[in-house]
Amino acid sequence: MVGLAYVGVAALVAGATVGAWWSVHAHETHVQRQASAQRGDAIAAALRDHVAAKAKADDFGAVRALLADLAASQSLSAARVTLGDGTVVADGREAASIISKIPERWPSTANTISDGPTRRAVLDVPGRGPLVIEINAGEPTGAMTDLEFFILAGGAAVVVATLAIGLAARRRTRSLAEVGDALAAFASGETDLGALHVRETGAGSGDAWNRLLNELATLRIRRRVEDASERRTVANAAPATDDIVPRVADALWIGLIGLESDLRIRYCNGAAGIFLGSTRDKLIGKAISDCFSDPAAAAELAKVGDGRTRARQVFETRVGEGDGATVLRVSVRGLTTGGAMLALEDVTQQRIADRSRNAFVEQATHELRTPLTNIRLCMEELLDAPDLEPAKRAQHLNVVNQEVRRLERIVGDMLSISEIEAGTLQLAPDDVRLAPMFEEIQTDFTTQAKTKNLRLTFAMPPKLPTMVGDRDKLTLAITNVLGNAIKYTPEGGDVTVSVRADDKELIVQIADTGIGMSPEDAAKVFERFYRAKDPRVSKITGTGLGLALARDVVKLHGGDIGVESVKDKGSTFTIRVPLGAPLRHAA
Amino acid sequence: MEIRTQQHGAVKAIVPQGAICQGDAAAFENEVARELQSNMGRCVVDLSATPFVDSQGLEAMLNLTERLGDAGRLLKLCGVGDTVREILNVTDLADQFELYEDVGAAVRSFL
Repeated sequence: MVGLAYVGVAALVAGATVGAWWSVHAHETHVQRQASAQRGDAIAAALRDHVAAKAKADDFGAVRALLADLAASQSLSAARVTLGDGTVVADGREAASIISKIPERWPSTANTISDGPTRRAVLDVPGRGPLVIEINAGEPTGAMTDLEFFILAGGAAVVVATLAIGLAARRRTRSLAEVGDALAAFASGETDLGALHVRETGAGSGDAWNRLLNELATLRIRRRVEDASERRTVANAAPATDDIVPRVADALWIGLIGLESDLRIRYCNGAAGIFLGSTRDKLIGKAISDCFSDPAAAAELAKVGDGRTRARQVFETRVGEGDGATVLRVSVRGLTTGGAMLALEDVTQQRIADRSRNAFVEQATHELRTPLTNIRLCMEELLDAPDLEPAKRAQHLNVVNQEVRRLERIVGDMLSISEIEAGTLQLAPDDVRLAPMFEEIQTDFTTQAKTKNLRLTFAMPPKLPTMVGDRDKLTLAITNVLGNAIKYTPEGGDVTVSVRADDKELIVQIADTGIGMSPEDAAKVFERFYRAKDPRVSKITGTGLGLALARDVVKLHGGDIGVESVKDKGSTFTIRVPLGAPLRHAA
Repeated sequence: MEIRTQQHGAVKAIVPQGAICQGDAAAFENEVARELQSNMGRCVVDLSATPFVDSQGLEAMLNLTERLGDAGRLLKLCGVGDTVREILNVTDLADQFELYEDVGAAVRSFL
């Protein structure tokens, strides 16, 4: 309503402005017309004697010249002399329309009365006829005067100001109305502070109301925390045995269930409710066998019900289906008074960790056994044949050396992974000169690439900055990725290492034309112990730790690593490391 | 507000994408409660993509941690940024949650 009122006022002001402007404009036009007529009359009167003299002398050429000068100098719309019958004999504007020969006599039939802006003066040429002088000093231009401009500009300013004030008032009143609605809702019992919030319009009242609600919400939260704290204090002050036992049980992340002798649930704590996917109220009185879908678990529980054993029984059972299933370790013990006690532990994550650990041990054993076997064979041959020819001897020693280095690398990777996992990996941050570091890496891998007939290219800028980091660990991360690229690129392929750095970060891209990966493998390639499902990969030795370690080291430096890969085409790994980022501690 | 989830072994990381405020707080609470129930409490809330939490977001988180509190656990938060950490400290709520540096540390706490 308020907004409409302001629009109405603005419309009235606009109408009044236009009306005032029109009145002034009409008046100004009238005045201009009168002035033009007076000027025309004056010019015609001034010409009268001169034209009469020249006409008497039959010198109409002089009359024409005079009118032409006059029309130009006085900016006249029309300036001409006509005979009494209307024939034009001189025209200051349109010289072409005049007649060339003036007759001896002419009649008097033309209009000789001034009308509007055209002013006329009549004179008589003795013995020949009347001449009419016509002067038009011009119509009003219609140009806006200063007064008109002032009226229109002022009116427009008032209209705009009225609308702006109306808009602001509307916003404010709407905000107030919403606050009023919120208050009405509160009075009706609405306590959800979220529902009581009003739109933020930038106007003071709505935002102030929202701030008030936020303050209230904060107070509510603090009150809740204080209440909880108070409850704890009261509970601690009166540690009645009957009360404290359930509270202690509820503080455990181990499900505790007390069973009657008919194996119905008499008591369970909060964790047991979560593990059995229900609430305490619903579980009390329920047969425990109905809580487990696994028949083996029901059979184990039945033994306790039969009273066949009071010894502690421990078994594991799965709750739920598929990958989301939970593995529960159930400990059951019969009670002297009949019935039994169950303890439920969620060991799902432990079992997954066990599987990973077993896979790692299996893989590590395999990885360690291969070089150890090679070393043993070479050493046996060296020991059994002391007179072995030097070339053969050198070859065996070379194999031993290579395999020892391989063992060293595998054990180093395992230790680093284990340190990162345990959170004990220590970085040794220092200034790292990148150019010598990459030159060293290039030297290390050139022979390896040549042996495999690969084209290894290092694309580096002429100058690389110095960064803060752990040089050995960074070298380890890059060599792990580069080593993988060389390992999984067939003979004759290309491996390109592109290095660049800007003000903020170091970017290393390692691209190969190797066997590539499927999107599924690429998504998991940085996971520990993960090896791609491709049969070509399983033929090549590897622990599945190198890329995981590279990722961890890069993350510890505050950077990131990613891969883009196309199966059978190749892969591109991109490492980004901030040049001066604070180093993170291993988690 | 979009809420993403990531599986880490048997643990589900819930990653809200944006501030937990006003209307989003209820959706956040419902989603986390649903995941907690379906995953038997093996959930962590990763706040690395959450720049801000208002009073309603805090209340939602408090409801969740109280619900877990009856079963001997607190809501596990990780990736908490400076702003959210300050909010938790100012409101004296930091000790109502288990705070971890990142998802990895939070997931390892289930071992």
